[in-house]
Amino acid sequence: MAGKPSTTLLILCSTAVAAIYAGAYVYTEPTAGASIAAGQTLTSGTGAASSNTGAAKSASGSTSSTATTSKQSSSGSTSSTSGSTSGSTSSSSSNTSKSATNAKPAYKDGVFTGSGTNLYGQLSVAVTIAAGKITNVKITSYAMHYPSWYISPYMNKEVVKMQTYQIYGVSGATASSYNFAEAVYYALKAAKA
Amino acid sequence: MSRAPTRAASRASLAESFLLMGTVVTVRVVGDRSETEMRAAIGTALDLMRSVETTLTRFDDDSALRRLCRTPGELVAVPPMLYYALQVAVEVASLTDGVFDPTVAPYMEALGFTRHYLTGNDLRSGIAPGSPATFRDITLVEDGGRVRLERPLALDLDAVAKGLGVDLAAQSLAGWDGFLVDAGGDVAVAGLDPDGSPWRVGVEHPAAPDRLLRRLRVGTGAVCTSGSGKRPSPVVPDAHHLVDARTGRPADGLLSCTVVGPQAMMADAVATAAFLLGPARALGFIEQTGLQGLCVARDGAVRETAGMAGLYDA
Repeated sequence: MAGKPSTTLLILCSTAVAAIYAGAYVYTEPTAGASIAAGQTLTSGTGAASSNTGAAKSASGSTSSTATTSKQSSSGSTSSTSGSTSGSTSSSSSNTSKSATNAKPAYKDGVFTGSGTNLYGQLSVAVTIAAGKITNVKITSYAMHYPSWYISPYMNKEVVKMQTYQIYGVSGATASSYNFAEAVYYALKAAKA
Repeated sequence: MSRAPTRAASRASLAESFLLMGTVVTVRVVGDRSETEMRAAIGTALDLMRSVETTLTRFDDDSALRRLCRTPGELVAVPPMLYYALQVAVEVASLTDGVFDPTVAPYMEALGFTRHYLTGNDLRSGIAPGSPATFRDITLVEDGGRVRLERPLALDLDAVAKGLGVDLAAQSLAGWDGFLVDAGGDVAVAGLDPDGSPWRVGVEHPAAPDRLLRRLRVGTGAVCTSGSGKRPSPVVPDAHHLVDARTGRPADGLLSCTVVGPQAMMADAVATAAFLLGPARALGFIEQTGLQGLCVARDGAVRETAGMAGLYDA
């Protein structure tokens, strides 16, 4: 009784991932190089991004003390970003071609950064717009350690250290992107055409 | 010629974080390769997850999911991603007798979950909550690519999409000494962590998010949690995003369910379904699917499947 559904669901899930990955590979293969270019462009476009190694990177000097300022870094380098990113967007078959021909895009193409604060500190995002659509939102700095769950101002640091020793990932209820709403808001404000 | 992973030898590692699929996504790769290669690998993994969002989101009129919903009664060709995601969602719906149901979207809209997480754009299906449509009105033609909706309905595939994105990203990272993909609490790991050890994954305490309920030694596999804590309804007090499709109300017997399995899509869907089934049936359902897991009740009591103890990190 118990064996049958378990096998069915596991087989369905395995089949799904394998089939979709096989199909996606055909599309993503040519853009693998493009995403390298996009990554490099993004890095050079926003200085803070280059040192983002996940944990404990503080915000760059220019953003660390500004709670609600937005910075726009749509430099010349963004044109290559938009080119490569639209290439990768085409991997989702005909989805985007239609929207690309729609009337007026809501956003200018480029890379736009925004900063915000929450209870624990300062954070920044870099939003990439290509063909008027949001194609990437990278977290470029997070003044506190990331992920945020283990940094509580109310907790003893030694306890935190012991608990999180060699823990790189934590499974919990879906973390909201709400913490980043302010930073995203300012980035998109800068991107408004 | 490939580097045999050695035990307890730390190695190069790079992690980047993004906002995607309504949550915070982190990809970490481990291996003695150049930073350029690491960034490229993370970029490819991210592209795959982004294609899941583009295809399966209900917050974009151009998504394949939304386009399918505009053609009820017609047999239409859909991308493989939508087809297989629907197939898994329908199977879980069938296993739970419709408590879990991908046609739950109108109820979620009634709870105010109508806004895109980045732009704030408001998008609604136009289907009223309480419409007679269920997962049984989704006809999948066994050719891997065509679907007919027998009635007008609105789909929400979030419970399988996030896990699917994680699994596709994980596929693309095979070949690294180790990797971790974390999409807002759906965590998949494989190989070795940056210290050269098998990955440990923490399970968040749903009532005290700054504490770990468990430390699990996972090595290779996925740990996914569904819980009520972090996505409150913006319009209905005390309501959250995990809705029992048969009543239209958020399930409220548990604080969270965590499932450990070989694959994030299955683990996340099973965790969500178990959460919706409630305290009396959750653990039995997890066991029935052959996975391991634990459930935290509203009073904080933890119940877990027999195999969980074997995963504890000493």
